[in-house]
Amino acid sequence: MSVDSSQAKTQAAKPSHRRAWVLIIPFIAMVIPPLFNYREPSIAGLPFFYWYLLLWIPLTAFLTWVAYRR
Amino acid sequence: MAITVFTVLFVLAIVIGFMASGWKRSDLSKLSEWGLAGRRFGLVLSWFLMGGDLYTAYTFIAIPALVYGTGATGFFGIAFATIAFPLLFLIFPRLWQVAHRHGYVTASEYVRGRFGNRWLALAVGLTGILATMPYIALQLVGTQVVFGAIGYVGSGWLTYLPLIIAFAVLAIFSATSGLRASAFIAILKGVLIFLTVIVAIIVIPAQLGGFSAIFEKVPPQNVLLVWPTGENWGSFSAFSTLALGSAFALFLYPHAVTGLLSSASGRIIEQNAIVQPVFNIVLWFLAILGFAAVAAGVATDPAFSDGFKQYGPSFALLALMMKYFPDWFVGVAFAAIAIGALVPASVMAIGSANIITRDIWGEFVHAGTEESRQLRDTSIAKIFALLMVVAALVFVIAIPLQYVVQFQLLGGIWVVQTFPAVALSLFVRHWLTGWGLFIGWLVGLVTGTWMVASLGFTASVYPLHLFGITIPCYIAFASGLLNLVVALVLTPLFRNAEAGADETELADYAAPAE
Repeated sequence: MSVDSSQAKTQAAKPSHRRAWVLIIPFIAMVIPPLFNYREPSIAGLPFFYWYLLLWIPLTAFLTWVAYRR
Repeated sequence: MAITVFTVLFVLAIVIGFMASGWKRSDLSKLSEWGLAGRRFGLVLSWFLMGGDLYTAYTFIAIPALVYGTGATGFFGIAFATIAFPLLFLIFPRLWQVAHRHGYVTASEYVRGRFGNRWLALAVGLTGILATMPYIALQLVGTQVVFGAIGYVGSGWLTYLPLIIAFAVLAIFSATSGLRASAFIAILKGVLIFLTVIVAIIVIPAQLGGFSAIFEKVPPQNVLLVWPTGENWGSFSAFSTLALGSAFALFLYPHAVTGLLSSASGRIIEQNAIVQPVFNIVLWFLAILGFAAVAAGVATDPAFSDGFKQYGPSFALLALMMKYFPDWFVGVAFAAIAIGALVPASVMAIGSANIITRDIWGEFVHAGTEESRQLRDTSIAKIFALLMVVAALVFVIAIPLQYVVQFQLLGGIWVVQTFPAVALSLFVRHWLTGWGLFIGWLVGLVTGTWMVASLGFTASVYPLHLFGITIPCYIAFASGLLNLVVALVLTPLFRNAEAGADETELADYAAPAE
């Protein structure tokens, strides 16, 4: 290893993703059925259960991006 | 017409496989070049490779089949695929960093370095390989269903001839081009899959009269999850534990690890975690098509009775496409699925070969100088990749489908048992020990297998009885939790003996300063 290994050691302690906690949100949203196991409100005949899950796909991507930004 | 279009596209995929060795030409006799494409894949290639790798032909057929048969519960697949990416984002860049620093090619190699315990590493490696074998076999099964539906039929053993040819060729280009082949075919696959599913979701529901009409024809008990009672948490706990357990397991499979370690940096993995979910939208569309198949009444359509008799609900998606797509587009759609099998099958073979070479053969069988090891490594890996594909072919031809599916079930439960050793160890330094993890792994494996066996190998959800309530729980989840508890409890016992066994340092897991 090179000269920067001692610098690297101290840098390792610095949290690089301060907003990583937002990632708990998709877990809660998609893994607790009482939150979404409903027909209404439906959109164009599609029950809530289904469009809710669909919506959480881009939402999760967005939250991951939020966590990614330094 | 369909069969012509299909064949042309399939052959194109194979040609790409052979030509891929020319990308960023380098010494393919080095294992990291063959098995990880030199760790050079940027975001675009990683997106296609991981997408093609994780969303397999089996996935495309099995998810609609599950929704077709059981309705809302099948959508656990959407939940699991979506939450898997935050997990990936948090965990895998660290694995990439430490693997990059120390030249690890497999998760098992990392475990050996982290804990200095070759037996734990062997356990992790073997688990990965055993879990992968039925998964490769199921890709072949998916391909065989498509071949049969498109018109490549024969009697007796001739039925399998196209499959044998296709996968013999796959074995060869995997051996020559390595992971580059998988990545470039994945581009073709991605394009075809997106095209097919977007057309399907626009055309088919419209033909059926919209979503209201579709859901009217679905049996009411399948439209939503069944609400639990006080005594039985029923489909709710099944859904949650299936989603969570599968998400934790997904990235532990050798083909996922291989795909991820081939990225050019930890940042790429993070970026991919943000953009990969576009594939989940495709998955959602496919799941909805499961309901469309119910509404279209394909099961009662005499044109498809042979297919359903032979393949059951797995035929639903194909029947739906044959009913509503013009003939030439059926060729495109089926090619998308069949090519969809080539990518994961090749990465699975390569990932398993990497493990056998570095963690089994290299570690336990072959001793020798460092230089002679390097030279032999890749040749051995190529042979093993070939053997994995041959083994999968034998599986598919000789073993009844239900056993392959059951083996796959077990594989998922086994692979989760490596989570503490491979993933948790990236974060937890003093509360995990090599032997504690090994025993935890063993306990999880045995308990999980016993639970599946007690259900006659038919289901993956076990009804736990706690405090007078019946809680159906995904077996991987329950046994994985037990595994973790055992490993943690045993830590004080082994901690002192293992001090100094770790060859990695805290700094190894962090990205270099920017």
